Amino acid sequence: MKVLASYNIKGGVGKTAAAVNLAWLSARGGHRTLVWDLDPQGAATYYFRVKAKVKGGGRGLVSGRRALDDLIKATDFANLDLLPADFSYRSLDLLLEQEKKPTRRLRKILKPLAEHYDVLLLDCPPSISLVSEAVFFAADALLVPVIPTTLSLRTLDQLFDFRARQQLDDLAILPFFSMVDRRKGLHREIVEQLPAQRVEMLKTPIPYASEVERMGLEKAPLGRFAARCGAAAAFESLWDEVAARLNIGNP
Amino acid sequence: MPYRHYLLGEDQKSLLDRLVSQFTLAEESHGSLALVYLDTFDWRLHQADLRLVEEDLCGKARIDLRHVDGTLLASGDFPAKVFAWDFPPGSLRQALEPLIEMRALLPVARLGGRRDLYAVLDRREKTVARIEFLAPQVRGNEDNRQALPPRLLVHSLKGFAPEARRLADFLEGPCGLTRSETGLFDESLAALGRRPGDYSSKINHGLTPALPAGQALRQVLRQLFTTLLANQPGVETALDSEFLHDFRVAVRRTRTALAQLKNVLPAREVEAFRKEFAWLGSITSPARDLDVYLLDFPRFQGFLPPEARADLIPFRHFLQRHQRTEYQRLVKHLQSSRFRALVCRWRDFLEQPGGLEETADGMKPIDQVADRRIWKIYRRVLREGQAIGPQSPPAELHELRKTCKKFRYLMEFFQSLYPAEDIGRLIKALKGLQDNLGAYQDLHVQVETLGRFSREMVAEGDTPAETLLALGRLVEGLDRRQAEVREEFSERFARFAREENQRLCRTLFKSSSPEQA
Ligand SMILES: Nc1ncnc2c1ncn2[C@@H]1O[C@H](COP(=O)(O)OP(=O)(O)OP(=O)(O)O)[C@@H](O)[C@H]1O
Ligand SMILES: [Mg+2]
Repeated sequence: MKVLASYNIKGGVGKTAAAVNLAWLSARGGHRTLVWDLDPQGAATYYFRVKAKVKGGGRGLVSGRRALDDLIKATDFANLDLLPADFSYRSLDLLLEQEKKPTRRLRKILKPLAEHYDVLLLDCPPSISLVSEAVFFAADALLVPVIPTTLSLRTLDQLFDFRARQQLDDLAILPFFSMVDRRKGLHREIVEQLPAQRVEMLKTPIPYASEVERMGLEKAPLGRFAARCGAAAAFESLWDEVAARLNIGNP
Repeated sequence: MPYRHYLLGEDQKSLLDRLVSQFTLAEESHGSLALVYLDTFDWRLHQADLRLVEEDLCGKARIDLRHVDGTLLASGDFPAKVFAWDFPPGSLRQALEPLIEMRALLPVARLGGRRDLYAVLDRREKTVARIEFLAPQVRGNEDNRQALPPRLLVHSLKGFAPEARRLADFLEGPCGLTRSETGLFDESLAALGRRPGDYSSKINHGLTPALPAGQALRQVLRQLFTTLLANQPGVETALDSEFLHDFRVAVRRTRTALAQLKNVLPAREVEAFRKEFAWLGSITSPARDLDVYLLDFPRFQGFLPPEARADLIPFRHFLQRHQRTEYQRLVKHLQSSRFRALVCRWRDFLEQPGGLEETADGMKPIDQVADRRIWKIYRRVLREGQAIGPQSPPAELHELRKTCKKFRYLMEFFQSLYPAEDIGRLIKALKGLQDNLGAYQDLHVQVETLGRFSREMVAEGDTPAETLLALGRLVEGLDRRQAEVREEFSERFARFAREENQRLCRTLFKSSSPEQA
């Protein structure tokens, strides 16, 4: 099972849009895929039309008293399941802190899922906290949406520094451009120049597109209602890149 | 598999009206049903409680591997392939490879007809269950269609069990539907007059100890004959290598049965049939040998360093060419009057062997006869094995291998006469020894044959020097491996011949054969 986390310390950059659409593509490609909506706001859960509630809440999950498998909901799509968000995930930090090795805890909880899923996508809340640290330990790769501005590039550098300090050598960091607006000169410039300087950067930018905004109204991944739009095509080629980088077998 | 399965008396329309009054339904698809259940000839997926289904969804192929309880294990958005190695790398291939190995996936049943699919929605417009109306028609491999009764399937979704239950309660309560316990798969097969698992290459006859040996032996031979005939069409169409393999095993077992239980059936006829089965053994050898080389090809490549592996490809083409020729030759034999005559005469003979009273053992109870024969062949295994030292020539190991095979077959024929656990333990112990002897013999033959093949390739012309070189390296590799396997023999034999097994053999086979005491 490959564990991918859609992560950025910043809010509103397209983490959830990426998690939901990439998960949909993974499932369509024949991989048994699970999305875990770690954000108490529950945006991903909402896109899948599921109630943001988990029996036993975060406490049950973190303590290991609740088997993850019993809390999982099938989405409307073949191969694609969801572990919903819950309001109590707000205090996930505190709950983790009570455990023996808080940062290793998540990895341990996820282990039994490997039998049932090929790909796990974690949709993370925007923050740097004990939860995100636990995510870094559990994940094979971080998918990092980056809006092409100088400021967001600085935050990206901080993330790489953090990985080095924590000696998380096995953690792949895969940034990609998100909400790219070609009409903006700065966006164009950064998108055209940066990838050449940074090998980790995925090559496909996700354009700013009204269809992505409409996911909220449609309550569905793009593939369901706008499979042929440019943004859907971009997610598709982004997924191909991710799958190739992480060697996710391509049935 | 569906959560619930109901046969429909009532028409679909009025049932839908009732459902709509209680649930929110959304049409998902309407149209034709096109699915194919696939399995290997020997039902490997069925034996592992799995179902492989290829489905055509509006012109797009999709293939699902599920546990019989419905859990999806792997899937792909492409049509089914014949061999595991034809599937693109991924979880589906990973799941299939160890199970089906070299066997071809064949359509077991094809379903056509009509299908209407509805999603049952909750107030978030989330699908919480699915309802499928089916008017299926089943097709076998020939073009006979058969309508199955129309039905309604309820599919539950993970995490939404209460919703599916509520739906089922409504259908079973107010709507008065009754659950059907058989599934579509079983019904389709039944309509085709088949039973899942109706072929297996394993043998186990329910024999009773007091059965006259003549009857028991006929029962064994009849089953072997059935196996042989069952595999013939697959051999003729060369679907995969295992048809010929099972065909040959049936021939060998038949020969062993005839040779080892000599005084049970009338001697004159047995003599004639033994000749004919020996002929069947010999005409099937060349094609099988080539099958084995082709199956071993990836292993052969493994003997070479990675950069030299591609050099062996022309050798594979050579093998494939010769395999085709040998199969053509074999098919001619199977269509010959000699083979047809054998089939007719053998069938008649198994029906009415006649003269069992005049044979020495035909009327004796089978347990006595089996004990005596097995005990005798077992002692031969011990004798031959103990005589083999580090310097013994390959021919002696070959001889022991053949004796072991006879011992094995006899135990398998008559295993129902002995406590299952005991005979199972012995067969397993023997298998350990047989594996070693088999590997040794195969390597020995391969080292010799590969030499011959490379000479033939030179004679046929056009063979790159790299290929001949690679073959030379391969022979060296196989030679080294052969020496290792030879080394292991004494330990393997000792393990088989250990006191515990000897004691078990004495108790099982010796006790009731007083003339051997
Ligand atoms: N490529 C895009 N084009 C247009 N709008 C987008 C795009 N990606 C995301 N959005 C919109 O931007 C908003 C934030 O996106 P999203 O929820 O994916 O970001 P996020 O990083 O997960 O946010 P949060 O930090 O709040 O979890 C949403 O309203 C979404 O519809
Ligand atoms: Mg989000």
